[in-house]
Amino acid sequence: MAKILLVDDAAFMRKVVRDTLSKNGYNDLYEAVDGADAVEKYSEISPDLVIMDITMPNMDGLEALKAIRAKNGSANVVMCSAMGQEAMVIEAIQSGAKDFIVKPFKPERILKTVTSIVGNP
Amino acid sequence: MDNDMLEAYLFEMNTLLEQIDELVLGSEKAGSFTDEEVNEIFRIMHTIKGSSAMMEYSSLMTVAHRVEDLFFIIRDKSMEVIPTELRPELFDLIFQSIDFFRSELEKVESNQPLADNIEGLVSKVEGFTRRIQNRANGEEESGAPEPEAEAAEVLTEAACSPEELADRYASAERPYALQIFFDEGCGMENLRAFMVVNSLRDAAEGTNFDFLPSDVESNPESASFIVENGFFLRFMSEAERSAAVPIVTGVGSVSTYQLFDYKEEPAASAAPAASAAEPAAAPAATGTSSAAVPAAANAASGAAVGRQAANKESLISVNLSKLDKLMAVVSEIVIAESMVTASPDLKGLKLDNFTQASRQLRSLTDELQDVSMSLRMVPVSATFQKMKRIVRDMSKKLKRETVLELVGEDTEVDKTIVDSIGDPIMHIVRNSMDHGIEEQASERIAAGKDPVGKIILSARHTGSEVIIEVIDDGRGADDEAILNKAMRQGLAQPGIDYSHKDILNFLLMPGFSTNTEVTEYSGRGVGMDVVRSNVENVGGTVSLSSELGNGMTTTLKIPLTMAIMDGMEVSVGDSIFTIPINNIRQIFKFSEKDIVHDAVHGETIKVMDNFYSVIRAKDFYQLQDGYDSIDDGIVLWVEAGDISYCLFVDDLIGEQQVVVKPFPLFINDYGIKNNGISGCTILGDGTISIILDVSNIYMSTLGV
Repeated sequence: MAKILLVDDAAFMRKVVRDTLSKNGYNDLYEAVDGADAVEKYSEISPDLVIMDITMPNMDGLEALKAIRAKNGSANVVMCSAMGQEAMVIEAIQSGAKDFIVKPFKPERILKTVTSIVGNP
Repeated sequence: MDNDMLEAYLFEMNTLLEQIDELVLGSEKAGSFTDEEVNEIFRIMHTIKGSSAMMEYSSLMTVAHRVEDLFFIIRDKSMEVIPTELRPELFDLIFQSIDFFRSELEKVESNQPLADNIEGLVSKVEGFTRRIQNRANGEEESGAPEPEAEAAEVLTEAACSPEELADRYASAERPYALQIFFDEGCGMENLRAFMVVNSLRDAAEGTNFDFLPSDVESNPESASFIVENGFFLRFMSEAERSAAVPIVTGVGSVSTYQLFDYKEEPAASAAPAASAAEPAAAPAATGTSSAAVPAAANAASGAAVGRQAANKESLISVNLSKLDKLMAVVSEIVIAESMVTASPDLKGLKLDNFTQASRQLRSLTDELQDVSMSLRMVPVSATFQKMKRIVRDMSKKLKRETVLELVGEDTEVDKTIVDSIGDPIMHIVRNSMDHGIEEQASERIAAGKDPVGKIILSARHTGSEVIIEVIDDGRGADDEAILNKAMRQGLAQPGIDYSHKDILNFLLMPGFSTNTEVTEYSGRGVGMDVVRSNVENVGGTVSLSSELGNGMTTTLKIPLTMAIMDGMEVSVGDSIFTIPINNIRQIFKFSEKDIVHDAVHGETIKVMDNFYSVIRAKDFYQLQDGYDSIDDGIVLWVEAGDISYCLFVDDLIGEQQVVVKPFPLFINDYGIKNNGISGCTILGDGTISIILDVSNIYMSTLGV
């Protein structure tokens, strides 16, 4: 089963993503609460996929993305962004983000993205 | 959205609002935000926006978005972009937004429709943002380019057939075109197109292609063109295009694609990407002309600069009902433990090992009990912090400069108690602001006080109680005015000599309000009597002390927890009752001849020069057994708030810590709460003991 690390400083957003994924059979889920935590957990868990918010305290999503990609050049990272963050999404793409999701998103959106990267659960 | 989702949302929103409230109050004093604070507000707004958008609460989302925009600019340009004279306005704007979020969340909680007219607040924030923006632009004219100029390239034609597309978008130079559509509603389609371009460049280096719209990276408006018409890639050779197809379809959210060629074979319909030709090794080494759009976004990205955020997240939130359940199980364990170790079956046996083991069990269960109790304890700081805001708002509105000093914010109290003291404290603080602190600074100066008023809100522990005091240094209570008012309200009788304490107690009586006009803050038809009843509901008491000209102190004594208390077990016949130790002043042995019959109060006993009514538990509960003669039994002098009387019971059994259990709802239907019963507890041997509510017994004997 694919290991997925969910990174967001908002517990609510983590819950939204977690609930969607676990309802659809992805049960090997981990959470991190900010960028620094994500980088640390990444080394610990080596997840198959990271779904990460951009705006976070204590190292934002872009820095964390770069740090993770520096550890593992083929790491799969999907960024969560909001409208108005185009510039950061561009930077994320250039830094090797696999895909990005725009908030607010429908459950199918996140599911499709996850499935396309790690396959069916 | 399901319920626990909503709960998670509300919990997080409320936490964030408290956080931001505290932050902004602190910064208002400093008159500015630090960079870190600007970042934090930005992030909080961002989270509120994102989460509210997920919940489809558009009013919350919109306002948060606007404030976020404002703070984006401040973050970018630093606080200096806001001149000192505009800062009060900035603070007010944030407070207004916080209030708006609060009121919207309250509506969410009570299932009411959200505001649909938010124009006022939105345009205020937007107006402010625009002013700041203009100012920033004015200062560095060269910087921000006109957004309109860039948007000019947007292609606006409506969707059309492949033939037309070929005519329009395929060029002779790069005749092989690939039209891509993205998943519906995936958002930021222009950047998805950019991702396609990027991965194509990475995977098939040297491929000569260009794309339309060509400004996907810099122009967000190209997204709508792509949604409508698709995104076009144009290649020099068919081989290059075929090689590109698998790469393009491998990019997330690409849903369909179509191939078409310039002039020849218009509308070659979708050909699945079978031909994985050599990874476009054919280098058409001409200058990859149009597709040169390197990274330029770094500057605007506002990447984080050395953030040292507090680690708030070592906390988890647990539903209170789970803690209640835990508490219930733990108390069962405590009881079961004593049932085992004190089992009559063990009497007279020599059980060294057993005794040793049970002693260890006892200390562990004690610890378990302490730990599970501590889980329910939360600091009063959140409640206290809210008062800062109230004092701030009121001192602005009433133009009475006042500071609030918090003492002992870290004091911990049971969660349910914290929830129920918020309103009473708020009311007392409002009263102090409204009636206590002098209207004019000159009045204070004349009285030799600091022109700035002061309210101290303090909390501290004493054994099983927490004491909360609200101390103001205002006018104090004017006994004469209060007495006159009490007369007018019919609360006081003329001709009676009231003590200072009696007079202050009028303030706590229903229907009393010292100010003739009801003001925006204190009035609202609730008086201190509501404060008193709220506090008494959680087993606490309210008392006042004041001296004319020297301010007023309101003291709330509240039990730390309602779940466990020290009780005195007493027996009446074969019933066992528990009386909270806190309510017992003294215990006496009297004889029948000490009883004085009073026409109004019935039986009374003289204790310490005062006469107190006697209530016989046996008669009160109409029990069959129990002593009738005062000589045989025990008299407890009990007190709750300002009620004091003597309770006659058969015998004392002993003092014990008991776990308070509420009655099941169906029993509550019989109105037992009005019969002097506050709950029950299970004793070590498994029998049930009823916990008496001392003040309620008195009230119901009087028939109130």
